Parts: sequence; structure tokens; C-alpha cells
Amino acid sequence: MDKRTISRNDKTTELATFYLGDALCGIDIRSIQEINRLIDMTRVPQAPDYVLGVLNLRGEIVTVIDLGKKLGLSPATITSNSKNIIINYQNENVGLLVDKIGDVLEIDTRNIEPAPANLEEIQGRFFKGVLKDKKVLVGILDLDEALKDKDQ
Amino acid sequence: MIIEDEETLQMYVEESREHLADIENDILAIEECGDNIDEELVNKVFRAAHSIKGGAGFMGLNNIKELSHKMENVLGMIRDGKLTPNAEITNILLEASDVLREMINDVHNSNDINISQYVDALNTISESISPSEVSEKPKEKEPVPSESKYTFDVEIEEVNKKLQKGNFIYIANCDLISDVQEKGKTLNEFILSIKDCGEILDCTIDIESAGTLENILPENSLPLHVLFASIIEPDLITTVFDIDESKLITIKDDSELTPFLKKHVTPTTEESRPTIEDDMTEHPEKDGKDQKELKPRVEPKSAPSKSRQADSKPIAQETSLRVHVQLLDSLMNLAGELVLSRNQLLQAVSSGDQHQLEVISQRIDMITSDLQEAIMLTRMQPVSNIFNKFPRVVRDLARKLDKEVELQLEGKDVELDKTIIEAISDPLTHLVRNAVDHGIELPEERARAGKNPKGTVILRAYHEAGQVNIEIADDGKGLDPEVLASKAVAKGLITEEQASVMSDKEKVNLIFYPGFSTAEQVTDVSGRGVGMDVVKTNLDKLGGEVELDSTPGKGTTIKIKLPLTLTIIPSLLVSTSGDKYAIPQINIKELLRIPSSQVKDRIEKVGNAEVVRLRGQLLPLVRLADALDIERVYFDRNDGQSKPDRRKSIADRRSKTSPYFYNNGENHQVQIPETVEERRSGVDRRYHASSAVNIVVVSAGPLKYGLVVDELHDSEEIVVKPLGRHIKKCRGYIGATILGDGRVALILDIPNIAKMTNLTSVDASDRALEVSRAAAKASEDIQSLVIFRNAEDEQFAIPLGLVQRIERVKKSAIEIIGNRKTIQYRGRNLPVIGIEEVVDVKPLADYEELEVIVFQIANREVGLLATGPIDVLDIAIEIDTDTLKQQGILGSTIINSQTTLLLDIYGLVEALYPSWFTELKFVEVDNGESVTVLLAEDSDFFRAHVKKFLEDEGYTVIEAEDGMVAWNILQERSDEINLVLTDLEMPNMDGFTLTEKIKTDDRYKHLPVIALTTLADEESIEKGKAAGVDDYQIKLDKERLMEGIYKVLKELVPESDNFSDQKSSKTQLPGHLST
Repeated sequence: MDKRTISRNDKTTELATFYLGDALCGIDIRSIQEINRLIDMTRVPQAPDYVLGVLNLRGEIVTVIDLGKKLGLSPATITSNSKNIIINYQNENVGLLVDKIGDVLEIDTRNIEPAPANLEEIQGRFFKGVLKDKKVLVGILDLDEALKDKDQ
Repeated sequence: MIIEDEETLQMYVEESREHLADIENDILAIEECGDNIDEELVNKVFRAAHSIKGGAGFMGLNNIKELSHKMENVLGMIRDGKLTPNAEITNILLEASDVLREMINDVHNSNDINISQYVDALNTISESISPSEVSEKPKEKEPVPSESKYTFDVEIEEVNKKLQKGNFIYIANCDLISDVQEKGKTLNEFILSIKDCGEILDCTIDIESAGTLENILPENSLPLHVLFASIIEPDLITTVFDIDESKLITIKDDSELTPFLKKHVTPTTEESRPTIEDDMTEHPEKDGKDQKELKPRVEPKSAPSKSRQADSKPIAQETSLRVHVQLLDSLMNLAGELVLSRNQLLQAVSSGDQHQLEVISQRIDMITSDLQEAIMLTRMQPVSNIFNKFPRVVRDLARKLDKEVELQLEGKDVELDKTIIEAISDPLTHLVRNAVDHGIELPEERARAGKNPKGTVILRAYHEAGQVNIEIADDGKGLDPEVLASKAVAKGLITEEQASVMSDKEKVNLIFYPGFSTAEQVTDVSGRGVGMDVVKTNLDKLGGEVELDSTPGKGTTIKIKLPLTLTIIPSLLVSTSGDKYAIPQINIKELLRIPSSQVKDRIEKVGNAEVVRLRGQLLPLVRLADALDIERVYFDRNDGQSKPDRRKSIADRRSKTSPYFYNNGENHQVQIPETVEERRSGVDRRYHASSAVNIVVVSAGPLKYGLVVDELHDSEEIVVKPLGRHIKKCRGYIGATILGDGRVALILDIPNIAKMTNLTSVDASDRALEVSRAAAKASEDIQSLVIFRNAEDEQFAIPLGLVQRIERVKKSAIEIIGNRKTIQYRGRNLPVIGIEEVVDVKPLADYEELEVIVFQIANREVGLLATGPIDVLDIAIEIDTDTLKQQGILGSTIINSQTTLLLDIYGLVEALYPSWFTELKFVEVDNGESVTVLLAEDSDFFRAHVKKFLEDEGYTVIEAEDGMVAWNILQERSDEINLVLTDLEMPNMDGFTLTEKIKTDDRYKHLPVIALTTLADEESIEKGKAAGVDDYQIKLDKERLMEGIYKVLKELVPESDNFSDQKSSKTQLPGHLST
């Protein structure tokens, strides 16, 4: 599959962006269930270090992941800007704790370029490509890859 | 494949599953009947196959249709008595039903499965009966002439298409004269009525056969041949045409149609699928027996898939569930009520009516409970869903092993949660297979052992105490505990020493230990690489318990206890290091709070393992925080904060001199007293209430351990929710739940936590053994004594075991009536006594509030007046029985550096109320001889106590300090001794060995042996019984002990001459015991 395209059908797509430390990342907005400020998590001893804990999302147990840590970027620091992006990953809601939510960008998929070769091996795996907008550079996440359980 | 409507297909699949569910057992039942055919039963299976076939035709599931059709044929012949269902036929039918099931379960690929071998096999059966006898065959075969007078002009592909869509193809040979004209119909009407229910592919009028107009014969006819496709089944189609059955030809296969076609087109499917007719015609009569051997055997290819099917049946794949309409109605009602209550709630909230709110919340509470219950019911399924597959499993296995086994199913209606039903299927299969494979012996072997050559396996389900029990019992050879034990030793699972102290029951349960049942157990039959330990692990996961009971030669019973449901479970909430966790109630045995003052004494450390003393046993401890690998904290009451706890051991004290506590210096300095002595006693937090240790005693199968947590909270019914994939691998949890405050709590997986901390059963008993041995030396002769005072400076003690309860009364409540003191207690008079009334001691201290220690003596309650402080101590004491002895005093000892008198409560009461005891005076022998009792007891305290009881009653007592001494005495003075009383745990030789020695020695085996225990636990009773103990008594219960002795002696009278000579006429039996 061509990893560079987010959607084959449309030329434009909406990208929800957020910050992991200084890095601006984006995911297809359609994969997002909701964004909330629920950070009252219950820690799960023995869980992988990128799992921050579990929380109750209207009766469902949601695993919250420190996306920064999972991707090998800077681990999340919980501030007033921290947000939980709930996405549906393989029929299961997963929360991604990010440092800050950015804008929603309407982008032309043709502007997406492959991830630069100088992205480190591990990190490169997680990105479908990068988007060069007027000023900023958005890394477009490959959620399937990013949320993959190590032994899966 | 042509399936247009997924929903319809789903319905069909479900319905077919239901039909298939029973088919297997019914086939087996049919086989059992043999010649004696139960028509109703055959009909049932027939109908099942028929319905499956019908639907399959409609759905275009050709393979399913064909196979079920063939089965139907064979069943039809069985029903008509043309075929006797022997084992071979049954096998084929069963295998065919397996394949059918497989296809139904994977309906979309069903047409790709090769079923020819099964079809062939079934055909061979029907073929073995001569074709003319076959009821359904003639229709297919007869009317296929080699050349037909009439032909149809139709493309064979078109016909094939129709066939695939599930249509039946008919050729109707109507007669326009007799069938149409004479019945008062017009041709048009006739054609329309046909068109209504199908499609006319072609029709032709046979003018030639109509004859000429001249010779109009009475049988004048004008034949109309209609090639007709319809989904209506053959047995109904005649009514459509309103013609005789014989005039209707049903075309099952395009090849049958060939003779009727103008152009002979080779059908495409012909090659791919060897036709049935070929097989039959090629070797129609070819040595029937030979065929049976060759053809029906479809095993080689299907063997692997067969075993798989037998093991994991459709229950694993169900995606939808049938619910009784009534249940659905009640759910609907409840939902309605819930909506109403919500409306009320919203109203009440907006109006702020507190009272109304309370009413509604109660209502909602009720509805929720009902709703929960109703929903639960929808998930409940009868265990017959899994039980029903076992007759087949047992039958196949028994055949393979040449064994005769009868399977009895009991309690098929017992219902369990769907998930549990699914999950126990495999373990149960394994156990049942084991029972047949390893349990039941070969018929000859059984006959030799004097058993019915036919073995019995009973599968039984029943409710008990909110749980479902499933038992698998066989009457086979049983398990030999010694063999198991030695095997476990050989495998290094346990040590010789451990094995020697294990009871038989423990030994047979070794089979569940991980690593026990490996290679040797994996026979061709039950070997799926699943050992008993896996069975156990699987059941543990469900919160189930397994217990195995076996008598060599008699059989084995495995009992599985299962919770009714898994989704909502009662649990206890605990917290550790600030987080709340839930522990399923099913794992919890008891809660233990060790007061801070006792922590040091009761929690000990052996190697790295901490253990706690619980009623004389050592319980391994696991700190939850350690198990989960989180930082331990403790609550610092000085600043109200939780701080990291760095003690290595729970019993360690947090010394103020430790550098950890100098951090926030000044505050503390104020509190730290000058001298070391004071400082220790003053501020050691260990002695504060908040430093008490909370232990949840949990069990994971045979393993019991204590989970140390920070706090215990409420018990709550929690809803189990699954964890996400990222944390699925953490073994410590079975799920999570949402608490009342909306937060999430993890539910602990108790068996797994034990494993995580390397606390397997063997390990634990290993440690416990080590510890108990170490502790044994120190703790010899430890008693629980109640310490109290009478006068302020005189200390008394009495064994805790005798005390019923302790009450506190006002001094003014004591009434003195007729020189006897009583108090009113729960509407009755409780006689109370003061020690000084009997014993020469200082009078009771003059306090406003007094303690009353209540005892039960001679079936009456009596209180002993005392003053506090009352304390209970576990101490080792040596009793001086001489120095201070007097009536009511057993002896003296020194406790807490104070002389303490041990009270003899029986003596005290007897002195005051001698009348209570008259009835107990017995077994005195006229000629001055008394019954002589050999008392083996290592504890001085108990020996003194029991000896006194006995001597008070007139028995002569010979004392022995342990089993060895007793044995030696017995050998020297055997003719004096009439009865042996023995403690069980003794050094040198324990009670079990002593009993065994006595009971196996011809010289002494007539001697009754009564075992004395402090607490009668089931296991030691069993062990003792096995050794030959006649009775069990609790050491300090004088009356029961005397009664027991009496009973045993009385039983002996008719048996033993030596005893009856002495006794029969002379013994005076006490009134209340003489019956």
C-alpha cells in the first residue's frame, strides 16, 4: 500500500495536529473519536512503560498511552494543555496523551512527502510521511504502526 | 454460491446448529436400540437432516444439501427397518454429521469442502440394501430410460443453475385428458398453477402417443411433459400438479436429465465430482462385506479434523443467542421502568426534592438489580450444551481402546454463564478423556477385579452454595497416592520429606502440579499435550476450583466448582500504595488484621519469605506492592502523608534513628524523647493502629497465601471489564472495573499473582515446612491461654479452648440467691462462680465492672467472675502440678514473670455444683480395677490436663511423652491397657504411626485408639481414619472426650472377651449415656 497517501479518494483531507514535545504530528481526523481532558487515570503496575494507565470513558476501560514515549520522542508531561485523544484502534478505544492540541489542517494529500530518510529508523517506522505546510512541518502518524503492541 | 441475504443465512445456520446439537446423541441412542428401532427418535434425526437439507437447497449450499440428503436416505432406511444401525453405520452417520457441522459453521466455504468420501460411504450403506428395497431410489432410477420418447429443448447450464439455486427439477408426465380435462380444469389454469410455484423450463406434448382419433381407447391420453423447476420439495410437488407420484420424475443431477435432452452436452460438474451412480453401478453387489470394510472408512483423511471437531464444538463460535420471549418481555418491562424512573429522577433533581430523590434512588437500585439478573439469565445456558458431546467422545474413545464404558449424564439443565460454558469445554473434555483412557480398566481387568466389565463414567452438574459443581466420576482403577508421590519426588517437584508428611488427598492432587503430567500422560488418546496442570490453570482462570478424590481400585472423582457468572462478581476492594484494587470474593478465605503490637511476634521471616502464623499454621505472605512491583508506602501519622517504605521486612521497626527520618528534622526532634528506651516505646509507629498489618488470606486452588495490603475497604459487586490490548499481557489482572466514584480499579488475578511471586504450591509448602520445622523447636508446647486476675495481684490462666465467650457486667448485676451467685443474661439466669469460693485465694477485687468468662460445662453455661486486664497469650509453659495444687487448680506456672495459677474449671464447678456431675461418674469397676488408659501426649500441659480429667473419672492413666515411649510401654504392659489416647503431632513417633503400629499388630489391634487434636481438621481426620483411629476428640473438651471414651469402650464390649469379662456385668453405665 502506498503509505504516502492518507486517502485515495479525496485530494484533500483533514488532519488533526498535536504536539509531542516540540514535534508537531498529525493524524487523519476521521480516526479520532473524541478529544478530552480526562487525565484522572489509574496506573497499571507492570504495564509497558508507555502505558500511563486506564481510565473510565463512559463505562468503557480505555488504555491511555504516552504517545511521545511510545514513539521514542519526549515523554509527556501533564500540564494544563495536556489532552487525551481517544481513537478507535482495532475496535478498541485507546487514549493518546499528547502535550498540546494543534489546529485542524485541511491538506492536499499531494503535498505529503515521504518521511525524510534522516528520521531515525525506529521513528521513521511510525510516520506515513511529512507535510510541508507554509511554515510548519507536520509528521503524519501511521496509527496502526504506532499503536502496535510490541509482540504483535 | 448464491446467498442473497446474510440475515436469512444466519438464521439458517443457527437453526441448523440447533438441529445438529442433538443429532449426535440421537444417533448414538439409535445405535443403542439396535434392531429395536425407536421410530420417534429416528424420525427426529430424519427431520433434522431434512430441515438442514431443505434450507441448504434454498440457500444454494449444495454440499450441505447433498450430504444431509444422503444422511436422510440412510436414516429413512433405518426407520423403515431395512437397515440395522450397527457401529459401522453409526460411525459413518456421526462422521457425516461432523462434516455437516463443520460446513454449517463455515457456511461460506462449505461448497469447497470435499465431501465425496462421506457421500460415498453413505451411498455404500444404502447400496448394501438392494436398490429395489430402497424407498427413495426408485423414483430416481426407474424413470431414467436409456432413451426417452420425449425430449426437452433446454440448455444443461440453465438446469444446473436452477439446481444450484436450490431448485428441484421435475419432469411431470401429465395427461391432459385425465389430469386436466377430467378434473374440470382448463389447460390455461393448469399451466398457471404450475407457474405459480415454479418455472416451466420446457414442455412438450406427445402427439404421437395420443393415438389417432379413430381408435379412442378408454385409456385415451394426451401426455404433456413438463420440465419444471421449483423449490418445492418432492413430497409436496404432487399436490401442485395434482397428479400421481409415479408420473413425476425428480431430477437430482444434471446427468439424470441427459437422456431427456435434445443435445447431449457434457455437464461441467460431472468430472469434478464422481457421481454416486457410478459407484453404485460399478460394484453393486461386489462382496458386500468387502465394501463395508473399504468404503465407509473415511478415517485416514479425516482423523485429524475429526478429533478437532469433537473437541471444540460449535459453542465456541456462536455470535448470536436465542432468548426466551418471556425473558425478553421482562427485560423490556424493566427497561420501561428504568425510563420512568429516569424521568422521575430528572424531575426530582430539578425540583431539588430530597425525599423524592431518595425514593427514586431506591427504585432505581431495585430496577438495576432486577435488570442485572434478567440480563444474566439471557447469558445462562444449560450445561447440556457441552455435556451432550461427551457420549460421542466416550463412545469413540472406548471403541478405540477396546473398553466398555457407559456415560451417565446428570443435571444437564443446570445453567451456567455462556462464557464459562465455553471455557470449560476443553478442560472437561480432557478430564472425561482421562477418565476413559486412564481411569477405566479393560473389561478383562475389571472382571478380574470383580467389577462390572462395563465401566461407568458419571458427569454430574449441580448447584451448591451459589456455585455450580461439576463432577467427573469414574469407577476405574483410581490413583495410587504413593505412586503419584514417588513420581513427584522423582521429578523433583517435591522432596521426600514433603511427600512423607502429605496426606493421601494431597498426594493425589499432586497430579495438578505444573510439570507433573507430561510425556507419560500424552498417550495417543488423551494426549493433546494438555496436562492436568493446564486443566487446572484454565479452571483457575475462571475462578473455579478443582479437587480430586481417588480410592485405588474404586475410582476417581474430580470435582470442579465454578462461579455462576464471570461478568459481575462480588469482590473486596483493597488499596495499596494509594491505588485501589479489587479481589474477587471467590478467592478470599478470610481477612486478617494483625495489630501493630503483635506484628513482631506473628510475622516471621524465613530466608526471603515472610510468613504469618495463623492458627498454628504458617501462611506465606506476599506484599501486593512487591508483587506488582510498585513502591511501598506507609502512612506517616506525624504529617499525614504517605511516604516510601523502605523496610525489608514487615516486622522491622522504623527506628527514629534511621537516617530516613531525620529529613525534616525539627518537628521530630520535639517528639523524640531523650533516652533510647523511651524513644523506642514511645514513637515507634509500628505500635500505632495505623501500622497494623492487613492481610487478605486468599486461595488459588490448593495454595493459600496472605496478600498484604495497605487498607481494606468495602466489598462490592463489580462489573468485570476487559483490559485493552496494550496491558493484556500483565498477568496480575483479570480485568478492570469502574468504582462508584467513576475511577477505574484493576481486578487482581490471585492465582497469577502467586505465580508471579514464584509462590507455587510446592514452593509454599516447602517454605512452610522449613519454617514449621524451625519453629517447631521453639514452639513446643505452645498453648493459647486466657490470662486474667481475681484479686488485683493474683494472676490466673485458663486454656482459651474452654472459653465460650467473655462478658462484661456491672458488679451490681450480680444477684445472690440461696448462696449461689447468678447474673441475668439474655433473659436467663447465668450461674457465676468466684474463684475464692473454692480455691484458697484472695477475694475478687472490688471493681464496679467485672469480667465474666463463660464456659460450657455439663451442657450448662457457667460464668467465672474475674477482673481485667484480660489477655490471650500464646506461650510455651511448663506446669508445676505439685507445688500449688488444690481443688480447682491444675498447677502453676510463670507467665510474664508472675506466678500464675492454672484453673481447673471442671474442678471448680464440681466443687460448687456437684449435682451437675453425678451423671458423669461412671466406669468404675467393682473389684477395684479400673479401665487403664495409655495417654501419649508430648505437651506437658495437655498431658496434665487430660490426665486429670481421666483420673477424676476413675480411670488409671499411664503417661507417655511421645509415640515411641507409648509403643514401648504398650509392649511391656499390654495386658493392663484397655484404651489408647494419643496426640497426633509428637516427636520421635507421631500419633498416626503409633496408631498404625497398634492396628497392624495382632496383639494390640483390639485396642481402641482415640486421637486427640487441638482442632479437628478434615485432613488429619482422614489421615487418622486411614491409620485406624477409632475416634477423634478435642483435647480440652472434657465431656465430649469422656463420652467418646465411653462409646469406644462400649462398642468394644461384645467384641473383646478380655474386656467384656471385666466389664459386662460390672460397669455402671451413667444415665444419660446408657442409650
